[in-house]
Formats: sequence, structure tokens, C-alpha cells
Amino acid sequence: MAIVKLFANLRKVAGIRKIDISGASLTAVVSELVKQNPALSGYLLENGQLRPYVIVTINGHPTLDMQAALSEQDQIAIFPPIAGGAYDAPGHKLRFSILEKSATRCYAFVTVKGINCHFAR
Amino acid sequence: MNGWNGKILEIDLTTHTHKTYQLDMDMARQFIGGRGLGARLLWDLVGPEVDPLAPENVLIFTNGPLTATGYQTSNRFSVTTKSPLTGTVLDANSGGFWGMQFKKTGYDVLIVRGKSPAPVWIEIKNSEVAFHDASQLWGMRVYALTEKLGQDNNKRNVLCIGPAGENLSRIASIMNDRERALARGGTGAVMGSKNLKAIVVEGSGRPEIEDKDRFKFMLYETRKLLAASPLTSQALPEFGTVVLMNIMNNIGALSTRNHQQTQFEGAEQISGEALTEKYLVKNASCWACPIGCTRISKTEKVEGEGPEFESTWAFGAQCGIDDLAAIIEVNSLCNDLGLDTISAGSTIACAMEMSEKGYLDSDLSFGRADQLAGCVEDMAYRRDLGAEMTDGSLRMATKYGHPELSMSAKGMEMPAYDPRGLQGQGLLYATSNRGGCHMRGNMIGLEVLGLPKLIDRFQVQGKSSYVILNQNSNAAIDSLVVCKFTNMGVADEYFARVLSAVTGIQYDTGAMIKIGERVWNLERMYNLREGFTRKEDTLPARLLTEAPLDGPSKGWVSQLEPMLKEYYRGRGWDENGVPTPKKLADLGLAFLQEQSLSSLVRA
Repeated sequence: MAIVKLFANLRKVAGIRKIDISGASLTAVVSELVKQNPALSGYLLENGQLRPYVIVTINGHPTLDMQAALSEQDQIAIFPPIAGGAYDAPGHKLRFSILEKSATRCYAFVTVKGINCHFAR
Repeated sequence: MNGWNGKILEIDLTTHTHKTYQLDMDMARQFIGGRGLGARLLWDLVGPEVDPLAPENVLIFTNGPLTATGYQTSNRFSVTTKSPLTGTVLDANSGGFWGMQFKKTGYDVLIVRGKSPAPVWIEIKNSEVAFHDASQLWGMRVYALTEKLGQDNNKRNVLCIGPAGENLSRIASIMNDRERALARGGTGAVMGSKNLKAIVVEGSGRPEIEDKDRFKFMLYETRKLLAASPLTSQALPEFGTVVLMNIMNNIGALSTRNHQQTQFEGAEQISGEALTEKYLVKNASCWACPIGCTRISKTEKVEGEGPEFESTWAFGAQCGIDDLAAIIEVNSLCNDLGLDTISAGSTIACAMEMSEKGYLDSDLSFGRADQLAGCVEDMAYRRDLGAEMTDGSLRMATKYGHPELSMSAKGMEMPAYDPRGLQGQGLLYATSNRGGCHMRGNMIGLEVLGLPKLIDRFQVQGKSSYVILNQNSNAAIDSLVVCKFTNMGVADEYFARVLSAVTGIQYDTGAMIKIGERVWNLERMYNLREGFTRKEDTLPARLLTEAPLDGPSKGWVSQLEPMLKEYYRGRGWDENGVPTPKKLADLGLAFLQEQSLSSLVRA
């Protein structure tokens, strides 16, 4: 059983700080964690993959390798994104707004799936 | 002329006179403002013959072309001087409201020279400058003085020193807007050496903006990006900078008990999560800041801003203390006395280790939260052992024969991130122009947080290129001047675009980075002129030779030497760390070569 520790707002979302979970890989453990705590889904996963900038460490070593094999008693720590990216909340929907429009120029701002774009003409 | 006011105010405290003159706009274009402009002016004004606490040293307060425009976080300002702690070039910058208000008085730069015959405070109301007797104010602490002089966030702003600055503590800070600090390197001692207690500003002007439509669009874009970034919209407002405590501890890079360990068993008790749960009252923010990372905390004894991560670490893990209430209270006490929390906490930790090992005749020991407040009071008033601690850990440890126990670089106490678990961070500390500092190009984004990508924190080869880029980028941001937290949601490109919109001068990302590189090289040349050499680009022996015995960084020491060689090459410097004539010429710094480069290198 791997020991999974949650930090920052993940604790509030899941209502737990620590949980023991079985799994042969990081992917398996995170999937099981989300299965047991569905509220974490939007905070950790996107299209079944770990959301960008979520910080995961195995025994204190940051990793991006979700296929990393785990051993019994491995300690996994999961921190929410605390830097980078363009996400503001799970389930982010397309937003579009015309900022300024005149005879000579038009500025628009679009946010979709975490990608910020602006258009100027 | 847009963005800049185009004016310098120079005050001579010896004669209580002042004059105004034009800002050299070529200089402003090349160095922007803030840290860059301050370093350029210091080069001309303060040479190697000047003692940092002599009247000939100057305080150069600078804002930037973005200051007071209303651009996000355009509240910040800098002070540049020769550091009484390190002897290096020193700039410190601060947020709050004072910088915005100073810009509204119509000046870009305030140069303070000389020494007043008696304590004085200065009042600047637009173009009017008044000198007031401060003999009745001398001795007052920061909170009471700030209130007495009429602090009113958006109208009238107070910058001052506390007892620590008056008593020439080399780790004294200058405080503004009550609890904001130009914290590091002993800025407060320089102000105290001039018998200058406070500078109060009131302004009614507003900087001109060249392209208002483009500027409004940049405001809108930046606001959206800051709101979209999880750090600037969620992590920082919700947990403050102390959110880093558990992360750094988890990876084994949280310096503990004067860097004897890299993990602290009490980290959870002093974490951002604990602060939010037990002591947070509300959030607050600086002028024009949508991030609002400021935390108002409350214990049974105090209520006020902070503590930030570094302060919490310095009085917490570094001293082996897990009493968060005591840390909040000593942080508040440091602000009231005008002391740098990082240097104060780390110096106490150094004294604790020396005491436990019998090198000091003292009962100080790790874990004793009850000793913190007394230590800080003694430091501010130069009482007992505090009289030695107040000049920083290196001077104290050297006096008692153990300089190796000072966890400092170039004499400035390092922050929380342990170089044994973060190789790039170690190179950053060793090469920082103002000494052990994380604000010169923090590598935590790359080595821990994955921003913009995750790189191996133990990697050595190739690490210097990241450090150089971060240092240059940070020097540019410090010259704008805006808050570095904006850079977590907004790319460098945006700074170039908003600077172009405000000034009408076209800057791009490459130009911004080159400005940063120019500033970095100028600061390096200043330090070389002061007599610094390659030998000072180093870390405490403990970090180079004593590997942690357990935790995720077990077995690692800082691999500084190979990184340093690579760093010099990457910088275009020679093997002694001296910028080559070609490099200086490329950066428009050929005038620095009027001094013989060979004479800058000590044997």
C-alpha cells in the first residue's frame, strides 16, 4: 500500500490529509484516489491524465512519470498546481469577450480549455 | 516623455538643501528604472573608498516607468546603496503604497546624500521639500511612528527606520507603509547613519501614458492571465507564500537547524495550511494588485501582516521551532523594530548552534521559541550578545572563531531553499550580486514546481544557462519595477508590451532580457571594483562538504565548482569571473573599461 499525502486545498476538497492506496503505478494510485474521492477529479485529472502543473513526488522526488512503478510503503505527495499554467478551476469553459471595438481596431479575449488567446485587428 | 517623470530630486542632509535636475533619458532607456537605474547611478556616486556607513554613501530611491500607472503591481520601488552587511552593491525593493505615492510627487529618483547634524525627517509634497526636526521621534518604533506621521494609504505614505536602523544594525531594514520592508543588506543602517528617521510623501501627479488604448488592453489581458493562473489566483491568495513550506520539506530541501538538516519534523505545524487554519484573519493587497498575497494574521498578542514563507522558515525550521504563534509574533516584532527577518532568524540559528557546541557563552538552543523575542530586542538595541548578532551571522561567527557556521553567501544570510537538494539554487546564491538571496532569479520554478517545465534538481551540467536566464529576467523585472509574482502568470513578453505602450519606445522580450543582462554585468563590475573576486562566489563549506544523512537529498552536496565554471563561460566572463571587454561593449557598458580590468582582479 502506498501512502498518499494531500496538501493545500486538496485536503479541503477531499476532506482527508492522508490515505493508503494500492496500485502498481502512479497512474493506478491516482485513479484509485480519484475513484474514492470523486471531488478530486477536476483538480487532478484532465482527460484521464494528470493535469499540468500538479506536483507529484515519490519519496520526495518530483516526477512527471505517471507510469513509474511503485513499491509497498512508497510515499506519494500531491500538491495542487501552485505555479504556471492557465487554469483557474476544474471544468473551465470557453469564455469570449470583446474588449474593445472601434472603426479601426477590435480586441477580443478568449479563454478555452486553459489557453488564453487574444486577437487584435 | 511618457512613463518617466524625467526628474531627479537630490537631498543633501549635511546642509539640509535640495535640488532638482533632469533624468538622463538615454540612461533611463538603457536601465529603465528601479534596480537598474539605481545601480547605474551608484556606479558614479559611490566608489570603493566609501564606507557604507559614512556620509559619502547614498540612498537612491527609484521607481520605474510603470509605477503608479495602474498596471498590475505597479506599486513597487527600490532603494540602492552600498551594503553595510556585504560591502556589495545592494538594492532592495518593496511593495505597498509608498512607491506609487513617490512617483506621484513628480520624481523618478530620490538621492539622499550626507549626514544630518541632528535627527531629521523629510516631507515631500509634490515639488515641495521640507526638513523637520526628528529628535522627538528618534527611538520610536515603526508602527507608532508610521501612525504619528499620518500614514494614509492612498494619500500620504510613510517610510522610516526603527530602533535597529538608528543603532546601525547591519541587518536593519527600511520600512514603508507600516509593515512593508526594504529588507535586506542593512538598508536601515545606512538611513540611520545619516540621522534620517523618515521620508513622507504626498503627490497629486500621474504619469503620462503614450498609447492609452494599448495600455488598457494590456491591463485587461494581464488581469485575465493573473486570474487564470492557479498560483496568482488561488495558491497565493489562499495560502500565502508559506504554501511552499510543506513542498520544500517534502523534497528534503528545507534548511533546518542552521542547515544541519534538510527536513524539519515540525514543518506541518508552521505550514501555509496551518497558518490559514489557525491564524489567518483576512487577505490584503498592495496598491493596484489583484493577487492579494498579503496575509493578515492574528495571535493572542499581535495582529498584522505576514509572516511570509522566508520569515516563517527563518524563525521556524532554521531555529528548530514549530510554534507558529511565536513566529508570527517575532515577525511582527522585527517589522516594528525594523529588522530583516531572514538575516535575524538565521543569525539566531547560527548563535544557537554555536551555543550548543560551546563556542558561545549563552543558553541559546534550537527549539526554544521563548528565546526569539528577547534575541530580536537585543539585536535592535545592541544589548548583550545582540550587539554582535545584529551585524549578521558572519561577523558574529568570525569573532568567535567559527565563520564556517554562518549560513551566508558574501555575508548575506541565505533563504530557506537548501542548495544540496537544489543545485541550481546553490549556483544562484553563490553568484548573486547582493549575496545569499532567492530574489535574484529563483530556480524553484524549474527545479521543483515545473514552471515552465520540470528539470532535474540534482542536475549539474547545463544548469548554469537556466540560472543566467532567470537572473537576467529578474533584473529586468526589478528595473520596471513590478512584483515578481506577476511573472508567475504573465510572461516576460507582456512586460515588454506594456512598457512599450506606456513609454512609446518599442521593447521586445529580447530587449528586456538584454537590459537585465546589462544590469547584472554592471552590478558585477561594481562588486569587482569593490575588491570582490571569484573567491567570494561560493557557499558555506557545510553545503559543499556535508551531505544530509537522510531524506530525499541524502548524500548530496552542492556541486558548485563545475557549475561556476560553466556559468562564467555562459556569461561571457573570463575564468576569474570578470566580464570581458567584448561582453561589456556588447551591452553598452564599454565606459566601465575606463578602469583597468586587470586591476580589478585581486591576487
